[in-house]
Amino acid sequence: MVIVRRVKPLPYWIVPVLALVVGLLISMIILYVMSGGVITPYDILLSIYYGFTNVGLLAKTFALLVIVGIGLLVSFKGAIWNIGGEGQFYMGVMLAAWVALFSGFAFNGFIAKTMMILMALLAGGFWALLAALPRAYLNIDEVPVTLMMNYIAYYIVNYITIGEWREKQYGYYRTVTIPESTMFQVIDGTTITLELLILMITIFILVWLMFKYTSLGLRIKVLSSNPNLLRSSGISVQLTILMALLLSGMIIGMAGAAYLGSVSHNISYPVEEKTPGYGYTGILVAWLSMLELIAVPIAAYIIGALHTAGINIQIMGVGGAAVVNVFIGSILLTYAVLITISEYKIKIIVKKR
Amino acid sequence: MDVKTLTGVFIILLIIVGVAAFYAGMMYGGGQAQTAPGGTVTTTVTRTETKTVTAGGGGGQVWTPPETIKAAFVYVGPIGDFGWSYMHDVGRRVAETVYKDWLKTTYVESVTEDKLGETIDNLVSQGYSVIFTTSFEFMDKTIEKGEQYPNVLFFHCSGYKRRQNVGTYFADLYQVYYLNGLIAGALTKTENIGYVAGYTTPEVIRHINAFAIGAKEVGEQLGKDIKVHVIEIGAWFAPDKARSAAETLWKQYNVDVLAFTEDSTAILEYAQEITKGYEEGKYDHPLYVFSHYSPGYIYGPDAVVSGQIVRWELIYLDILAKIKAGIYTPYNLGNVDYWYLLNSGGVEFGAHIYKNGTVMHINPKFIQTLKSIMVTDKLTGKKISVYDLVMSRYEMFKNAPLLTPLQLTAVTHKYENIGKINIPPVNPSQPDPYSKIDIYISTYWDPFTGPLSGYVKDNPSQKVTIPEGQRLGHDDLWEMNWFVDWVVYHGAA
Repeated sequence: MVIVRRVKPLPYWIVPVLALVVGLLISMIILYVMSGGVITPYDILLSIYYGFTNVGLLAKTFALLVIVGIGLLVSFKGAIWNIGGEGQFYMGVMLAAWVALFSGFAFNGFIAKTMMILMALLAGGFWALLAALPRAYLNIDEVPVTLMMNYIAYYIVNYITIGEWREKQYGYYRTVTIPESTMFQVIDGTTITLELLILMITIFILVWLMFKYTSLGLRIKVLSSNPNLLRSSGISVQLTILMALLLSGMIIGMAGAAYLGSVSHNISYPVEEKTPGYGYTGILVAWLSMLELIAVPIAAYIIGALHTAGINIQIMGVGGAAVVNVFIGSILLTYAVLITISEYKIKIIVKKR
Repeated sequence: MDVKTLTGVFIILLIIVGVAAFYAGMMYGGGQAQTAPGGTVTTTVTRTETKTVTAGGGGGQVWTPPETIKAAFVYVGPIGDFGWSYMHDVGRRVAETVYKDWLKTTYVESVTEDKLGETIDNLVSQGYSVIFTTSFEFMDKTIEKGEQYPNVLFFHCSGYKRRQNVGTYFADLYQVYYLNGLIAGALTKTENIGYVAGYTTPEVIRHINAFAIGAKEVGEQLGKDIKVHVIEIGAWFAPDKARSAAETLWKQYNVDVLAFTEDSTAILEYAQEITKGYEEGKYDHPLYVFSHYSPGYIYGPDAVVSGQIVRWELIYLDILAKIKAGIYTPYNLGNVDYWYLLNSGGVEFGAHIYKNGTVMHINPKFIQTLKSIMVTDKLTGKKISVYDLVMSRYEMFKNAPLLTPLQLTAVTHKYENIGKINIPPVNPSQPDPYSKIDIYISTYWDPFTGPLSGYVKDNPSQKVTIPEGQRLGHDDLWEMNWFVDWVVYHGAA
């Protein structure tokens, strides 16, 4: 058996679509077998249909995934593999929580919310920068560094949540709920908040403009295909790497602020178990979009719908809490397999003696 | 595979999935059409509400209970915990079986606080109009969602925040813990009693104190210097942590009787293991235990002495009946606050329920021992066995018929510690035999009656003293943040 690189790769859209379909089929089988026939494919299709058609329900997940997906896309475009979305996200959550709870800005909703987003942006950017500096100047692979930074971030947030910030009244391992004035404004009939929606649209437009019209956008794109070209045209490769990761972290950090203001309203220990996992799910969104900005919302919509479908299966009284992960996991796995198949083909050569 | 076959396979798959999804959708759409009357009700309600608001608010909102009531239960742990969530689910199933004509229920298990919001969003979008959230930390989120969905009735278990469409309910075990404590005080030989606490919320502190008060009442008379060692594990459902906390108490603090607040059976199984080992001569002291929330005797027939059992179904049947009858609406739950004790039957003293429905109050294995230990009942001055003492206190707690109506609303809790009253005669010149009779409102006696002294949990140097004869009221119990002096709080594990 040999593995040969395809001369002509498969059409690029086929991989994400096929990954979705096959991934779902696999999850149906897994859930059917694991539940001993209780969760039928019919239940799952029903839930998926429900997930896809209830725009109001998936809006919140969708918007957060779009932001995180775009954030990751910025670095992925430059072939900088930022796996540290979770860490940057939670650094954003932490700083936003600080603004809402302890900074004293909470008296004015507008100032407080703006500060939450700004501080989260700085925090996320800073956290990404810690991985970007060794990548740019010492050429240390960013994948393990960003990944490990996630856990550092988790434990920092855990430490402060059960220590200094722990709510005193009942001694629960969490912070108190943020003041009403700092909660983002829910749009009636949906799960999304106004601020989150605005943030999502703004980020989308800004990143689109950046890739379309600015030299930074171009430099990041060239970085992935041919860093030597950058070097020969007198552009600092290090600076481009720094910028790609910094921007990525900043955008994801803002998603953290939006999550705190729109969804969680407090931080609850242990973070690594309570996390919605957008930093990781965002990777799937970015990949399913084939690193096309326009396709990010589509991918986020699909994943958001599957997320709703997962909760729905639970509500139907037939599934456990892990259904969502079965969906996401199967799709990601299928994607990884298919992306290999799309670039390489497996030939079985029978040797004749 | 080349490109063509791959595309072919993909298209076929797409068609299959598409067709299947289409049919699924059709069926689902049909389902929705059936529930359309429910939908109409909701719109009517919205309209009525708007009208009332323009008319200047106030009462008088009209709410018609739907034909079929769809009630959802959100649990903090898995229903398989055989503890808190399991017993809530028993309540749900009882209600659904009894009210099968008009009640449809569902449940969502293992919901953490941060997932509660989206779970409620999902439930509401599927037309569930009654939602029970069954964990203390769901309180703020439930209120928040109550504001977001003003036409849904929410009931939050164990909290104290309410609004017009969020009521609260709780079945409290402190009397039962006190009865368990009496037994613990008689059984302990090492004089060290243990308590594994999930968190130290006011509820758990109250239970620890009641347990400690009972233990001391008997232990003191037998010349024991009772200490109650408390370890907090920081989770409601954490079998591993619970087990290791029990192990620490047994090994390090020489504890031989244990009570706990955790939602699994891990401690019962551990205690069974130790007690069995003690009886085989392997260990120098046993670990007797009181089962929590569910009838846990079967998990430790040698170690479980007694325990606390809850009957959530009592509350669920009541709430759902009142919703169906139109008594509870999304506009009048602001003062709905159930607080059930032994008198109402919402909780029970025991470790096991036999197949015929009767309760085993005390494990038969321990009855002889308890009957042989003699103490003085401080209320009557008579010398009786511990067994008789426990049973007479149990009867006393059960027998408080006038207490039940006061336990249903937030505005009447303040009367719950009125001991007895005498009604004045209509005409003082004419003799009225009834005016001379003591009418008992609450139970004859309560464990939380002074003299008691303790210390504040978060600030041990701050002392608390309850003077002789003072009986704590509902709010004092509800906000309890202090331990009695002989409780040793070892902090979080």
